[in-house]
Formats: sequence, structure tokens, C-alpha cells
Amino acid sequence: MSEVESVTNAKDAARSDNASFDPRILVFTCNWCSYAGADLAGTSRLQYPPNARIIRTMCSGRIEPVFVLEALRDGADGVIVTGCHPGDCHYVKGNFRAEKRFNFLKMALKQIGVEEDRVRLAWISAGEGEKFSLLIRDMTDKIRELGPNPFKSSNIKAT
Amino acid sequence: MSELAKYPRKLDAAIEAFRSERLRWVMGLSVVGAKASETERYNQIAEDVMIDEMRRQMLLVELRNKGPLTMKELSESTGLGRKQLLDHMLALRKRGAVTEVGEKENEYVYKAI
Repeated sequence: MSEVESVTNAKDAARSDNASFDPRILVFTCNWCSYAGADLAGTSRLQYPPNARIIRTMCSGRIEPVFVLEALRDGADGVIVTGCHPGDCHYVKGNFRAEKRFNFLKMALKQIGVEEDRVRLAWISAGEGEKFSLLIRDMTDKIRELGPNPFKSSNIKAT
Repeated sequence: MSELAKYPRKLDAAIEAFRSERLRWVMGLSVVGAKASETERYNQIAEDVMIDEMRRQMLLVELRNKGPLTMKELSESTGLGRKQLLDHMLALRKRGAVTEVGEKENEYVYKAI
């Protein structure tokens, strides 16, 4: 069996027990916009699945591809990187840097064979609580469709 | 070891690649060179990247000017060793800059795209 076939089989197997699957999604937020957006979603009592774990950073420009890759290895089924809208960064160019690095990350994930939809970059302002809750809902559905991340180390050890 | 167990190595390799100073430098994440004491290290990384790129462009220029060539012919005209040449040709092939167009004396003939 080729490497590609074996990973395809593993992914199919992972999809088959999606019914009991509760995705773990890691969300990186920036202190100034997207964290405030997430906060607004909470204070506005907007409903979204409890699958997202939020990590607040000072700026999306602080998020390195390594953080996302390590999250995928260590147990996350999906990762979202969020930041201020282009042009609104508190530190002027942080989100442009984040976007540039995210593109590098996408290239690496393509090489590894991780599904593109497992990671996402989104711009959320402090006033977009609704957008944040929609994003989490959408991402949770998407990851549920994809199934558990076959690349996380616990899945590997089990095989 | 199962086939799947080969895959975390790819993820681990990507993690190490993104930790490496060379990739961090390309992404604008490296702080090497920010201090005067690190100038030498910074120059070394920059030089490595520049040399690789220049060698790859040299191979493309040869292929464009002389038409499809084998690895042996490329090695003779550029003076690059077999291993280095292989590394660069693989990188160029992956980038979609060269392709095989046939065989000559049991060797692939490459052409620049």
C-alpha cells in the first residue's frame, strides 16, 4: 500500500466514527480586535459550540506557523488564526505579517497532506461578535465533516 | 511501523523547518542579524539562500540557452557536483521550472519551462 493510500484509508476510518466526534478547535485571537469580538459574542449571549479553545496573543503577527503545527500534532483537530481587518492592526502591519506567514503554513500543510480546511485565517473586528460565533459554528461543522485529525500524536500512537 | 506512523515525521519535519533560522529569515521572523554580534550568522544564512538561488538560476540559464540537457551535460557545463546538481534539479522540478523531455544515454533529458 502506498503512503497516500494508507493516509486516505486512515482519513476514511477517522470519518466513519464522526458521530461521537467532538472536535477540538484552537483559536488564536489578537488582543485588540478578534479577542474583543469573541468577548462581544459572549456578552451578547450569542450561541456557538463549546469546541473552541481561545488563546489570546497581543497581535496576529505574533502567531508563528510552528504554533499551528504543534497544535495539530498535540491534539487540535482544527486551528483558526484571527486578527484585525487589514489596515486596522493596532501595530499597523501585524496582520499583514500574519497573512504572509499563514501562506507559508498553507504551503507546508499541502506538502504534509493535512486538509486545507483544518486551518483558517479570519479577520474579526471588536464589533463582530456575530461573525465570531458564525466562524466557530462553521469551523466546527467543517471539522466534524473532516473527522479527527489523523496527524495528532495520540492518533498515531493508537495505530 | 505502520505506514501512517511515517506521517507525524512529516509534521515534525515541518515544525523543525519552521523553527529553522533559514525559513524564519525568509518569513521575516528571524531576529538573527538584529544584534551586531550576530552579523556573521545572518550573513551566512543570507549567503546560503543566495548561493542556492544563483545556482538554480544558472541551471535554468544553461537549459534555456543550450536546449534540453542531461544531468551529465549540466554538470560539465556548470561545474556543479552530481549531488548538488541533483538537489537543485529536484527543487526546480518541484517548482515546475524544469521537466523531463526524454532520455539520452540512460539519463533523463531536462528542459526549462
